Amino acid sequence: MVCIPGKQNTPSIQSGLDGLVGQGKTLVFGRIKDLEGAMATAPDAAIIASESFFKYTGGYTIALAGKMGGASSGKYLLVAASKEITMDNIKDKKVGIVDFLGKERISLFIKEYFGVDIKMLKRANKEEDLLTMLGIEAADAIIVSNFQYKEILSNTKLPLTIVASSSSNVGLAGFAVRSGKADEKLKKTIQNAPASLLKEIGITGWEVR
Amino acid sequence: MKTAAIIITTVGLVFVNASAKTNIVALQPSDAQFQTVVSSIQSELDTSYHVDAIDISKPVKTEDVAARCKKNETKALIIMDRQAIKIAEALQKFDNAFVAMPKFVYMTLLVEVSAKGLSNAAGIRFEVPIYTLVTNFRIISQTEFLKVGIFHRKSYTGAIEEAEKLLSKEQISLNPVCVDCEKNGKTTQSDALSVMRKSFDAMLKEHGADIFLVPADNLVVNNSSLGEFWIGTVKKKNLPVIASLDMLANPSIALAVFTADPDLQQLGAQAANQIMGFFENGTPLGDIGFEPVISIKSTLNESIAKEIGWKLNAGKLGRINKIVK
Repeated sequence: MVCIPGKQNTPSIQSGLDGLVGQGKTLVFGRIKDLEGAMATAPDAAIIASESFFKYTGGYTIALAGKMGGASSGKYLLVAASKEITMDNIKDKKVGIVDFLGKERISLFIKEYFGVDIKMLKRANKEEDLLTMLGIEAADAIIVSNFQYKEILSNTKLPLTIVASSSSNVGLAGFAVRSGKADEKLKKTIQNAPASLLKEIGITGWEVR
Repeated sequence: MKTAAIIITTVGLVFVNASAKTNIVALQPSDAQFQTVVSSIQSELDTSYHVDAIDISKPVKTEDVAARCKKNETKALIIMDRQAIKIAEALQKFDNAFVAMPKFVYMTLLVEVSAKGLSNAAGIRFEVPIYTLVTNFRIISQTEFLKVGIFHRKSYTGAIEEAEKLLSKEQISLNPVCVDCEKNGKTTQSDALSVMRKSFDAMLKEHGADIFLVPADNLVVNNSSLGEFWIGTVKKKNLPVIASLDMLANPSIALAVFTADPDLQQLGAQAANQIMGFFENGTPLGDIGFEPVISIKSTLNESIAKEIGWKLNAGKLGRINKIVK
């Protein structure tokens, strides 16, 4: 099962995996909520999702860690379009983020990496909506990966400022199996995924764990 | 909701029972687009919520709706379109409980004006913001533009001023012309067309306009203005037109190079966020307010871009939902 929210490219990933793994053997979701529903009915299925998803879910072992260029992790950034937004007042502000972990986990993620409880978190399913949120002032700040931030900078002339960086690096997409349920054949197949499919997942290669 | 909570609303205290579901009644027409949004709201909310949809395409009696709400201990109303607003207004008059009840209003044009008679209401404006339309077109454009011409009616002035403020941060300016400010309230489509004809050259010469934005307003775009003015004058000058009306990019009309409509699936997600914000985080309805719609579905008419010589950024076209070749 695969769930990489934000890109709205579920059909492309599904068709890529159908070609790689076989028709009907994989399921691709655009929302973590749908992945969670499917996990209940297929508890032993391997999953490709953000590495943080496995950290907060438990019971999974990451077999392959996604890489972007040479890096298998990167910082997340709290970005605002106004200098009035600071870490002192952020907890009372509206903050947008792509919901790549699900409602409960995303709050845990922000608390762990930014040390703050955001009262008005605005979860989006599309990456491009984050810039719109800032531009129309529906959000005072957004939380994005450094890779997403580069893309955002190329799309706007808003005077963006980085209010804070995550306390440590965050992993990219990972391929994980139920702990104790290793599947070497599937792992090898996923490892050999074509560049076009990896691009859809948001990585350029895999690192074996 | 996992625990009992006391939520302070603008009208007092509402006790939320921990064990019961949060029942919400959706007053909605049966059309597919309304169904899409209600389904999306339902799928975003967790199992502690139940949404009971009432089809208002058929005549409904106020007392029947009130009885149904009472029976399932409805905690909030989702209100979709103007007919639903009328029903909610009647409910408020019928029983005081509906005055205090939170109301979330979606898929209604000029929602703040339309829902003026509703107490305790929040929602989402259904019009794609000018800012969103303009900046999304800039992202896919290689040809640069700095000035956007727009004809609008007087009641749209607030939206224009808001857009001017937001777009100035993107270093884009608006060049607006009001089509009904002289004959307030009595302007016909023909009067508006006359204003557009007269002011067009001055708009280009005095303040400049690199592109034109057509709002979803029949005073600005209609059968008589479409062929003569928009296609015959604006498009003829190779000025790109962007619009919040998808049909203007259709090959049969072939006016707009780029259009954007609300993404209904994501509108449902945005709405669910508001509902959860109120029930779970205790965000007052006044703080939620009437937000702009955030997510769009865009259409690019590539053949118009070629026809008028507008260069596109090929690397950014992946974000377009529909490309008309």
